Amino acid sequence: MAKPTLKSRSRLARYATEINGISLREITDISITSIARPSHNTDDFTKTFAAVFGNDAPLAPNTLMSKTNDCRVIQTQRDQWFIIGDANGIRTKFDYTTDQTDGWVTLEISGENTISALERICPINLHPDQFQIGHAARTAMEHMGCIILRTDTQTFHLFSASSSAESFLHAVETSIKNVT
Amino acid sequence: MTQVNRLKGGKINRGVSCSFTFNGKKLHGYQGDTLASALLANGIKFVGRSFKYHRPRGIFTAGSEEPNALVQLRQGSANEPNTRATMAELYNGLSANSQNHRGSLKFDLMATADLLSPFLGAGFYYKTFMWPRTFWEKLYEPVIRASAGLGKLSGIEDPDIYDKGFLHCDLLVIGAGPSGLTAALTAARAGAQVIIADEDFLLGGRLNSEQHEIDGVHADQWVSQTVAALRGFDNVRVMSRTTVLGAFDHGIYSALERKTDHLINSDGKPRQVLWRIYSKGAILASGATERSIAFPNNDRPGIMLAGAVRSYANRHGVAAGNQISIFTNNHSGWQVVQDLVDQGANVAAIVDTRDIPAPATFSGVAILMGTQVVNTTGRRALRSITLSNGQIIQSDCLAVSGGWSPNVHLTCHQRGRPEWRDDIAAFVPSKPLPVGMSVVGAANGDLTLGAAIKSAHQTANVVVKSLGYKPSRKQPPHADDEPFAISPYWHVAHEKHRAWVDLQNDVTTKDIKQSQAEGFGSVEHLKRYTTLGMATDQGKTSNVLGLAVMAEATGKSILETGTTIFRPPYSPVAMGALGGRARDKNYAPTRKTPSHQWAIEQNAVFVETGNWLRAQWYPKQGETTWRESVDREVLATRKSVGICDVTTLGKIDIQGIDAAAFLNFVYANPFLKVPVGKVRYGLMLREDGICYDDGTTARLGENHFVMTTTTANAVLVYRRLEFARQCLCPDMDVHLISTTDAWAQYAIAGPNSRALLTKIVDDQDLSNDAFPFMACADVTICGGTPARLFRISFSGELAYELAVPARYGDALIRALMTAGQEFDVTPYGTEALSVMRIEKGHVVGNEINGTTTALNLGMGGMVSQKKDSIGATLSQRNAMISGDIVRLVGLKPVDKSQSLHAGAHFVEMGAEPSTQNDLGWMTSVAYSPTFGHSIGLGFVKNGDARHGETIRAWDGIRSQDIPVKIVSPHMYDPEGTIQRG
Repeated sequence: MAKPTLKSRSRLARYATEINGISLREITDISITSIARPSHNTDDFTKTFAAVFGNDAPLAPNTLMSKTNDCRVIQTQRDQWFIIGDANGIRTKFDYTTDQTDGWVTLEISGENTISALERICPINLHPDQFQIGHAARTAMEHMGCIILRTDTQTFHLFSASSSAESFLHAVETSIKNVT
Repeated sequence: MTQVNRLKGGKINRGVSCSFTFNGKKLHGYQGDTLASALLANGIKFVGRSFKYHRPRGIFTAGSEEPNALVQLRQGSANEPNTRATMAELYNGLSANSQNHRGSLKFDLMATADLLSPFLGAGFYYKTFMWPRTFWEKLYEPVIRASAGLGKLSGIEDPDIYDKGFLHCDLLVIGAGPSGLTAALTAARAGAQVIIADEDFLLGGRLNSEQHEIDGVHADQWVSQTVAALRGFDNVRVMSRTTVLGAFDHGIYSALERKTDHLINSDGKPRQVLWRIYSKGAILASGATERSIAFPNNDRPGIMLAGAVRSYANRHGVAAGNQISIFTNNHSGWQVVQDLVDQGANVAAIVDTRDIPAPATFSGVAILMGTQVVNTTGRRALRSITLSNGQIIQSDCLAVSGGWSPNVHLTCHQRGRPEWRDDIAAFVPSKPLPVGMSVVGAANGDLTLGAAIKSAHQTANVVVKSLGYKPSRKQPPHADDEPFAISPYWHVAHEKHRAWVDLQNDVTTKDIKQSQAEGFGSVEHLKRYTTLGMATDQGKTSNVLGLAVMAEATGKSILETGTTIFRPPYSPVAMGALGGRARDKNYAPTRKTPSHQWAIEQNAVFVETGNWLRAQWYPKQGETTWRESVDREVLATRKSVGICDVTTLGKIDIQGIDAAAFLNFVYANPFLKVPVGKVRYGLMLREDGICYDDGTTARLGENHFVMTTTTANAVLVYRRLEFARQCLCPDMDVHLISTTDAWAQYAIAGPNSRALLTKIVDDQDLSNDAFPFMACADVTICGGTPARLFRISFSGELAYELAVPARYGDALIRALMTAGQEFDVTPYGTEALSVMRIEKGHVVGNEINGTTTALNLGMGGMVSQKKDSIGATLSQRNAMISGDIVRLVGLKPVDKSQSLHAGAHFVEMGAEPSTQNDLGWMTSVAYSPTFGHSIGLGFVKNGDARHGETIRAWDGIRSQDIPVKIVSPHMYDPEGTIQRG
């Protein structure tokens, strides 16, 4: 008997909504891969990184878009980065990689009052002079670990643990409802 | 009644009338009124009863310092007790009731307490309710509880919602009076990110209550222009109705914004928001609070602070009385008279304690210098005052000014102590201040307008420069300094009548002297003995007066007497605001496994395991008890095959050329030579040798491991590994990252588990030779889906754990169930899992409970002494390896019909249950459907050498005393042949 085929299922079933001018949606078409810099072989890592991404590994809060513009590199801790986007062909170039795609749920929040909404849960200073387009930071929102990435003036990507995706969505949605 | 005391002018909107009720009576006020000003406008002065003696009390202040006018605001579930009428913004439909009386406000049965006042002084409780002891719980406490307190909670869930949030700024300006507005404008012009917060709904501070000119225009106009200018800056956030509550480390301040308290309903939005404000610098411009003078019977409704009377006249267009007298020891009392006269109020007299020439004269106003008020009359409202010269003046309002106390509260939240300034007779902030804080204006002792504005401008420029901004060259606004001089005068001595110091707590000068006489002379003792300065107003109007009276009693100076410690919050905060949105099921995040929806479809009963929801059991139709379901799941698994979702176990990806060495260091047992493709059970110790956690770790590659942890300890173990990596092994090349959420993982257990998996796994040979017990591999399943397969067993069965990327978790459980139909596959929950692990003798948190060692667990041999690992050395301390060590054993009841209970203690047969005779305790129990009776695990002294003996499981809580037989903890398949088969 033929083996069954497994279908993937996103944590929030590709949830999308708009609340009084703020749009909120789950982003599902990206992969997340962590890479770590070997402490015994930093030079090779640096060369490889530069060859792949055309630049040095970014230091938070700065991030780096790949040369092909299909993935972004975010520093998540010392000697560790997340490659977010299409990382095919990149993983094999680094010694220590871990697939993180399924560990995270990604929300995009966008709209005029986005910062007012995020003020209710995000401890990071989101003033555009301080947290610029392309900046990212690790923080916690409503007791849930989170990475926040600014992709545009009023657009942010929020990454949080996939197991608590519904609670995270509720936290963000509540914030929007409370300010709009 | 139609606002009989309404004057001309004021900063109220007479175009918007607000209807409201007080004690059921319908009244009217205007937008811009507070409840207090509206009550006064309607001629209502008597608004509540005092805390202890139930004396009639009126409105005393016009701000957050109000000690008297506390009301129950709103109705039903929205009812909020102890709301200051002086802070409650009037809105159409407001409903308020007086509080702390039994019967009506006018005829309070508890008012008899006032007759007993000679017996109810400070320390009364402590002295009186000592005997007989049995009376305390049965009589004294219930009576005291029934009598005490102020307002009453509705007892119904709060219907409002609350929120919290985070703000950031270069400069936080606390207070929007003349100093705060000046400081904010100065900083804003320099380009700094500024937040200016004020507790009032109308910005301007004292300028709203007084008559001044700034920069050649009326202060009202200057305030309007300045606020408009501030609102026009992109770099300024103006927050009215926002009280800064506390000053914390690193420039962090808490603030409560009252979003909808001024509206009849919140329209689904948060009523209040509790902000955490991160600042690089802060300017405290919190102003000063007026204090009273203690004189006999100074608590009657109509006796108010002079600044409040001035405020009601200037800001609200309300005369606080028809015959107003002033009692003062400083110049500000005279300015009150001037404003009252200008507003058309009727002033009877000004009584000044100072023996100096009168600073001014007013037509029709009696001026009495070097005179004091020595008594008052009026049962429910002031009628007359008696002066020290014997004169009696008919007055229905007495405006008292004993001087001004800078609001130093926030300067002291990090243990700062204010210093005394004789020239203004007040405490002012002293260094060290909270890091980054500066103080300006009246809060810093600059009590006159010109000086306050000047200091604010200068300080703001210094602060913005220190933050890297170029100060603006704009000159500070100009204002004259009004005359200010004070001669301290604290209280009018009198043998017969009481003079109140703390109106809210009914503390009199006599109480303070009594406290000192009875040995409670330090200010902290004074506070506890008399309750001076406690409760909602935190002594804002009474503390300094109380200290002065105490200083006089002890013969010390006020500086030597000192102040009590100021702590956050500055003003009371509703518990709902502190809780914010974290209530009910949103109190904490909920974690769900990828099979959650499927489990719901199977009618699973869930249990909270930390934040996780896990299926406890899956009831089937006809099963009436949980035991029926669990027994079925255990037996089905042992008979054929069962599936359990074990996604919640912590998973940590460990990579690096030193990964094996690292694991060898954090685990007590060896890990250096674990072959690739193998899993090893690991035991982690604390530094003191006590067991920390256990789990399995699989070697997927030469430099790649995956560790599993217990569900409960997943975060703690990860944190511990990070500590070890960064601090204990900084030179190792090792990298950690959690993958707990990335994988859905299922245990497939039972004799048919291999057969079932053969239908799922693509190419891996699952035979015992090719994939033996403790093997692991990266595999693909279902035609190419990546997966990880581990041959490990918690149940003691032939078992596997299969992990897939979480997005396939839902599909995999469905596929496994479908593929397993021919084997009658059974999903089992955490209860069946627990039963099987007890049968097998596997330990969990019940056994690894923070007090037990590897030796206790029967795993002493795992602690390698041939290598260095965390806890290995201290685990070998004599006390931990010698003497009567408790050992893990299995327990079976001698009478198989009896049920065991965890927590029971073991004693020898015939011995008295006592600490001396305690042999150990039962850690885990279950009904074993496999054995057909209750079984348990537990620790028994030297238990490993006592297999086969009988002892008693004594449970004092459940009154059970059950003979149990000591057996091996590995009750099911002790040789392990099944799991290796």
